[in-house]
This record gives sequence, C-alpha cells and structure tokens, in this order.
Amino acid sequence: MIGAVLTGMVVILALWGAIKTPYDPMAMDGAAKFSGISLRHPMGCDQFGRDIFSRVIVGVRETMLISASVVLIGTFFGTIIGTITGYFGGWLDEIIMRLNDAVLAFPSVLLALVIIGIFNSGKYQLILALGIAFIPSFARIVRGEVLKIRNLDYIQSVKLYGASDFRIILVHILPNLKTVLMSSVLIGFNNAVLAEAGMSYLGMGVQPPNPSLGRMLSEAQAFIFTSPLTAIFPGIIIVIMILGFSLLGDRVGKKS
Amino acid sequence: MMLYVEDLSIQVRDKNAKTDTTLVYDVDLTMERGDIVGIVGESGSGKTLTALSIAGLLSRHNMERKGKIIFEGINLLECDRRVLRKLQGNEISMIFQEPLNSLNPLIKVGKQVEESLKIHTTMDKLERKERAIKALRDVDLDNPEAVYNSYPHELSGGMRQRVMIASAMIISPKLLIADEPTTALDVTIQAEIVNLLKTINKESGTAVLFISHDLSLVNTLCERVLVMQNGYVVESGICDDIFHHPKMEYTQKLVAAIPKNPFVN
Amino acid sequence: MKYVLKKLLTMIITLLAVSILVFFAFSLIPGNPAISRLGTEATQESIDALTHEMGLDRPVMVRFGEWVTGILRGDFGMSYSYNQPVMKLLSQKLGTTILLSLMAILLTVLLAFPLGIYMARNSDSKLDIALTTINQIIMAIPSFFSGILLTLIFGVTLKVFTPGAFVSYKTNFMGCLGYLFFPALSIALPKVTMVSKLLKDTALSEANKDYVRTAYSRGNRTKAVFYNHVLKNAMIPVITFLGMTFADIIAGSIIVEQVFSVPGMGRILLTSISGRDYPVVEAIILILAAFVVVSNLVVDLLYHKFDPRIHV
Repeated sequence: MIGAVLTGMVVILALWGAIKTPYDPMAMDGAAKFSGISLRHPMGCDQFGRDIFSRVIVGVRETMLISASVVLIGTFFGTIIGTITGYFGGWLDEIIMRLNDAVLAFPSVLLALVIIGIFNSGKYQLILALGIAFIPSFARIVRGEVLKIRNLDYIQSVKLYGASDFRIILVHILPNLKTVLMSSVLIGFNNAVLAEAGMSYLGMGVQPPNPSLGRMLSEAQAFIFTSPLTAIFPGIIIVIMILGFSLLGDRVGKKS
Repeated sequence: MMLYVEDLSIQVRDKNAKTDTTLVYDVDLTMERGDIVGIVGESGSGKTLTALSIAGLLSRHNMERKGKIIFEGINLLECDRRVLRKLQGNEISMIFQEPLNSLNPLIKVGKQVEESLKIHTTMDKLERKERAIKALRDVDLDNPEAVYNSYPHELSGGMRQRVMIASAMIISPKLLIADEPTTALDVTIQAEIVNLLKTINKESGTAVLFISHDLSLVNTLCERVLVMQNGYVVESGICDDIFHHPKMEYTQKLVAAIPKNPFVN
Repeated sequence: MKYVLKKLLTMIITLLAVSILVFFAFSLIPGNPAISRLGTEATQESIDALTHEMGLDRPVMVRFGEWVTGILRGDFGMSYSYNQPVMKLLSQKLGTTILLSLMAILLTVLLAFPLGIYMARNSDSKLDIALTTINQIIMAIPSFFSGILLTLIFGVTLKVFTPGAFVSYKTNFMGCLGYLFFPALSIALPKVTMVSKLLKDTALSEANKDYVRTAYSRGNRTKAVFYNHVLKNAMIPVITFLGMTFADIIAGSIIVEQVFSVPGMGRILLTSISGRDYPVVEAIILILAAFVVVSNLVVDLLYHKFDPRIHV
C-alpha cells in the first residue's frame, strides 16, 4: 500500500518533469543563489541560483528513463541467453554460464565503471554499461526457470507429438516466465535506480548542465557547510524512489 | 499411578478468524510404571496432539488445553515451566516420526545424545561421553564410538532412530513417548525398532506410550490400546480383545485394513 | 585438501580470464594513448617517439605476455599520466581501501548480529516492529547519501570529525581509523539491515523445524534452544550472504571514498578512467578481482566448516 503511494508520487513527479517544469531547470539566477525554501522555490536554489525543484523532477524523469532502459536491455538479452542455454544445455550452456558466474561475482557498479572506461561517460554510454552489467543476473534467473519448465511432463509430451524446439520455446516456455520476470524486473529496476544514482554521483552518467539526482548530490556536497539543504532534497527523492519500488517488489514477490 | 490423563481437550486458536477449533475431546488415559500403551488412529485423529501435550511440547500461545495431565502427582497443564522442564528429557522423553529432521543436522550425534545429561546432571565431559557411548551400545548400534563422532546425515534411517532412542533413554526416564517411530522406516527395520522398544521396556522398566496408525504393530507391542477418531477416543481396552473382537465400526475398519499374509490361515 | 586445490585452480583460471578480458578490452579501444597524452597539436615525430617509448608499436600479444609476466613479479607497468610505476602509485591507496573495507565488514557483523538476534528472539514485539520499519527505510538509503547525512550530522553539526581531514595510516594509525569510522559506517548501514533481516527470517523459519522440538523435549530452556540449536543453522545462509556482500562492500568503498574524500583505490580509479590512464585502471580492476575471488574462496571454506553435510 505505502509502496504503491510512494511509487505513484514518484511517477507523478516524473510525468510532471516530462511535460513542464515550474522553471527552466538550467536557467541561472544570480540573485536566487542558495535561496532557501520559499513559495516560489519549494526546495530552494543551488549554487547557480537554479530552481532545485525543477531540477529534481527532471532528474527523476531521467533516472526513471535510464533505469527502465537498463532493465529492458537486461531483461531482453538475459531472457534470450537464459532461454537458449537453459533449453539446449550442453557445452554452450557450460561455457556461457561459467562466464556468467564470473561476471556475476563483480558488483554491477564496478562492472559499469569498467565499461564506461571503455566507452567514455555520458547518458547513453551509462545505459549501455549498466544494461550489459544487468544481463547476467537476468540470464541466470531465466535459465533456472527454463530448466524447471523444460523437464515438466507436458513439455516432454508436446515434444513426442513432434513440436519443434522453436515452437516449444515460443508457445510453451516464454509465457510461463511471466511471474518470475515480473518480480525480478521490479527488483532489477530498484537496483538500476541505485546504480544510476551512484554512477551519476561519481560523474559517469548524465553530463552537466543537465540535471541528475546523483550529480546534484555530489555538487551540493561542496557547499555542505553553508547550505546543506541543497543536498537533502535530491537525496530524499532517491530514498523515496527506492523505498517505493522495494515495497512494491516485496508485495509482488509475496503474491507469486 | 504414574500418569493420569483426565478429560484432556485441545483447542487451536486462529488469531485471524478469532475462532477456536477443537482437535481433541475428553481423552482419558492411565499408565502405571512399566506399562506399554498404544494409541492408534488415522492422521488427523488427534493422537499426536495428545502425545505432544503429555510431553509438554504444545505451544502455549495458540493451543488451549483443558482437563488434567497428572504425572507423578504434578499437573503438567498447570505447573510452572521450570518444573515442566525438570521433567522433560529426565523423567519423560520422546522420539518422533522423522529421525533425520528430529536431529540437529549441524551437531555431532554424540553431543545430541548426551544433551539431556548436560541439562539435568552435573556430570563432566568425560562421564557424559562414557554414558552416551554406553547408551548407543544399548540400542544395538555397532561401533558406538564411530557413531558418537558422526553427523546425522552420515547414518541410515534405522540408525538415526536408534540414536534418537539412545538420546531419549540416556537418563532412564519413567515414560518414553514414541510418536510413529517406525513410519518413516523400511518394514524390516520397523520390526527391529519395535523389538528394541520391547527390550528397553522389559530391562529398564520404562513405560512406553506408542503412537501409531498401524493396529497390527500396536498389537505386537502393547498390552492396552486407545483407538482415536476425529479427536475422540472411540474404543479402549486390552489389545487382544480389541484386535479380535472390535466393537466399534471404525475399529473394525482398522482391523480389516491390515494386510493379510496369504501364507497364514 | 583436494577440494581446496580444485578451488585454487578455478580461482587462478578466473583471474586469468579477467586479465585477458581487461587487457584486450582496453587495447581494442580506438585512439592512440600517446596522442591523448601529447595533445592533438603534437607533431607526428613526437607521437611516434612516444608510441615507441610506451611500447605501443609492438604486437598486442607481445604486450599482453609482458604485462602478465610483469604482474607475476608485482610490476603493473608505468602509469601514463603520473609517470611512475603503477604499483608504487597504488601501494598506499590499496592499504587505505583494504582498511576501509575491513572496517565496514567488521561493523556489519558487529551491528547486524545482535540486531538480528534481538529481532528473532522478540519477533512481533513493538520494538521489533519499529526496528523492522527503520530497517526498511535505511535499506533504501544509498551509501553516498547516508555518507552525506553522516557528514552533516557528525561532521558539520556535532563536529565529531572534520570532513576532508584524512590522515594516512602510516603517519597516524589510530587517527586514520577514527576518520574511516564514518565512511565504513555508511558502507555498512545497508548491509546491516539486510543481514539482520536475513538472520531474523532464517532463525524464525528454523524455529519451526523438528529438531527444535527435540531440543525442547530434552528440557532445554528457550534461550538454550535458540543459541545452541537454532542460531547455528540460521548462520548458514547468513554466511553465504556475507560472502556475496564482500564484493559489494569493496564496490561501495569506491563510491564512499568519494563522499568522504578518502584517497583510496576508488578515487584513483575514477581519475584514471576519466584520464584514460589504462595501466592504472587495468591494475585496479585486477586487484579488486583478486579480492573478490579470494574472499569467495574464504567464504567457501568457512561454509564447509560450518555445514558438515557438504563434503570437503
């Protein structure tokens, strides 16, 4: 319940950020530098006098878009790899899964940093880097499920009737992955939000002057002695996002 | 009288529905020292709940028990928990249906066998080990020293149940409650375990309350039997009488259900 | 023994695989590092000279061979941008990061175990419900934000420590530990919530197992049943989880070093990535990989010690 409310709030903020912001998130106003909370600026202004609220809601939009793309890449390729290796098995499965396990041993942020090191930093590079880093965990989950389904009696009998492997995968296996994918997508989305915020905090994501929640935190840190509020709001929004999705994920996990 | 159960009823409370469901109604049972008594019935008849409540193992949170369970003059349903704990493992002990799950998988068998000694006596480590190895030998386990140092998963099903019996008998209790101790075992091992219980009863004088769904097994071991159905005791008396002249329809069905050996008669 | 040898062998193979992947990934990136070092205005001769000096004009396989044999001697090559051996550049930073990670692990264990045990033994009490709620919220705070909050509360307001005033463990060991306390805490906090929740959940599900009933039937007190029987079994999934967390904690230190301006591996990794100083990046990744692999081995061995059902 609380999870749904928090998530709803975040989605509304993101939509708001996608349609119109109260101020231009990149417009600087020298007179409003570090101004506190007011009716005109509900979250105050940053070191350049930019409206933090406008920057936060655009940041939420960016984080949501990036995280969704990351999960999409992870789910898509993870499902393909997991289904093929799980269904056909053999030496291909052995090799890919060994590689998969080796990659899984590394935290996704570290892996993404390496990939960013190769491709350079930036929004699309970040999506690519995190997307690749997310594939192994999805592949592993899907593979486990496919292995289970493949050995069910009815799949065996469908095989006896002469159905092709392609048809079995498409008609009988993929639809059965829905429940597993549902909860792992939610958990994955949560991890993606966390990873995106972490990467952009490190300066490896969305590039300035475009707003991003993580970057706003790292910039605000330089002024922590004089104007701590600049850091608080973006941080709280990140916490609300993660909390909402994790509560929602827990509920879906319990139901299935 | 060693054990005297009168009007024992057990209700389970459902917190969400706020309703009570009665699972055992008005059970009466008496046992003297050295008795062997059986309780027989299908699953869900309330026989295991009756046994667990005599052993003091029903959760006090969601199980409401009424009536009396008097063991050596102490009412187990009303006494202090400390008093109950002094009896458990010392004067009353229990063995269960699944010997593998009933043993802690991470602790060596010997340490589990001697745990009652650690709780109830002042024996030191060496004495305890000596007693545990003797107890393992008493239940006919070959090479008790090796068993002492092994983990439950390293033993066979029959060996595990012997270990459970050794652990229950190590302090020579007055009452041993055996809840379907042979159900999870092979037929040949079943007979061995039943014989072992018989020997223990004869040699140490420990009374045995034997719970089973198998009337023929009860008949080979027990003098008296209670037949339970849906929480009620439907028939009770001397084993032979009930086995050969069942009065109640339910008992007749139980007798008829015993597989006949085609080479006898 | 045979098991340990087998594990050691897979460990070496994994590290070799990582080194191959890392080296070739960075070798295949388009662009000559010599040009990025000299700038686009440089003359062709000076670029050629530097390319030759850096050994970049030789075949990739030769360079890989030299790189690997160098590592076996503890030589990770020369940094492009600092002009000194990578190993010399990293040695002290490595110590700082190890210290930070160890402190975070220690804090995780010291906080999570008592908390999880308390919540398991008093489940559904008012304090347990409150702690579970707080746990859920803390779990959602990323380490860099909790780091900022800790800086704000203990550094700026209460003045328990001075943000940015890091001292090296070589000059003042205790002072260094003191400064690393809050960074370690912000890495540990989310882990504490996860480990304590896991400990509570597994302890509660273990409490329904048959062997617990046996333990009660012997006359054990509730406390003895919990500590002598339940806790031991509940520890097995917790140890597995702690093992996986180790890698996360090292990754977490990369971010948190940035929050508290700790000059460790994380900081130099970030500057080397943006400065395209590949020898440094490669070395750090390989060292971190070695960390992860070795910690996995340690957890595996611990696991076998705890659970006799798995044969060594």
